[in-house]
Amino acid sequence: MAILIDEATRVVVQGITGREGTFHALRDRAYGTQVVAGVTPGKAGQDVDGIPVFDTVAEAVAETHANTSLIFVPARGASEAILEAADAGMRLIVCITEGIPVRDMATVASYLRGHGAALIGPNCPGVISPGKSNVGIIPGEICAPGSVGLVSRSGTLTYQIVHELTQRRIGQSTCVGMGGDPVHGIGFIESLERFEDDTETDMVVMIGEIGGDDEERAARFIHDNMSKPVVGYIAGFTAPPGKRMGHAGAIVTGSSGTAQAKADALEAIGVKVGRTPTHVADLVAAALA
Amino acid sequence: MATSLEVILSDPSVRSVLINIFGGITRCDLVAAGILEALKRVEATVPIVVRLDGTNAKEGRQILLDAGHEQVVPMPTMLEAAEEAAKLAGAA
Repeated sequence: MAILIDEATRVVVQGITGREGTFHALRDRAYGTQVVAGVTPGKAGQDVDGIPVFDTVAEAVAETHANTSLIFVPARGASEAILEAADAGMRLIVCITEGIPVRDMATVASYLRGHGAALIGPNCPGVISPGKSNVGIIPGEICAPGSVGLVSRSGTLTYQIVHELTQRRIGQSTCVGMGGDPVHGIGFIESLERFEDDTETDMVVMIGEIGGDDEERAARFIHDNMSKPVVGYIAGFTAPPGKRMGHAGAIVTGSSGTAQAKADALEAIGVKVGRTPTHVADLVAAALA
Repeated sequence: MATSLEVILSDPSVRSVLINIFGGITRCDLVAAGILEALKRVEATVPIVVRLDGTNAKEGRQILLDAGHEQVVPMPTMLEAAEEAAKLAGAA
């Protein structure tokens, strides 16, 4: 099963004729993903190595039956691109773009509530169900099919931890890169919920970082709803207060949002929290043994 | 990459540099080319430990290997790279 994406996922890439759009559309296709269409306004009729390009998502859907959108549109047009994908009936929208203004995303988030579309991102590495489908920029070669679900606020930490799991011959059902922006789509809770219901997932790794209270709310959700074991990691134990650490949402404000507070919240309900990516992989291996 | 490395290398208190890349959207071949570009502009007086993984890592490692720069020290994993950078900083 896996969650969110699988062999039946049909991807339209918005912004396919841009540098990153082309590179990653072709890389995802080479991984085995069904990349059926691209969209760049004004470039209908062209193709990117055989992938047909359309002016609008609606036209791409009519011709190719795409059901998932992958967005590489630059920040100033990206929120519009998300709305267009939702209007065209996409069931899943993955937005890689970094730097979308928070106010634009607040509008998008409220608009999506009235639609059936789920959003991953923005400012995220996307989602991969190893061996089935890769929608985004996660390097497919470091993943392996298996039973560990993973959800993360950090792209690079996802890669590092997935890599260490794969090296220990521990495969993954689905890896969700939820992104580092303060206003985002699918988060820890929505991912945990899906992993709990997924027959291919036996346990979950959640990778958090400083800022906000997503990890604390996830801890409450795990306590109330999860029967499968969860292993955690929190980035930023040494982060100074008030300094934004890379991601727009990664900032310790006042006394809240610290790595210690988040680790405490998870450990209080019995979730083991690794202190390094290697430690996380060790905890997963021990839990599966 | 070239500009940031220039800034780091211009600090006389720096005794070793650790470059740790797990590329997703970042391509390791571009990182490797950037490192070599920086070394053309500024003389490296300290060792630069480089760990490349992820997107185009193989190509990136090959670029560094082919260049064979005496101050560039490629390492296979994050942990080994960090240990090596710390060791070289201590020895300098």
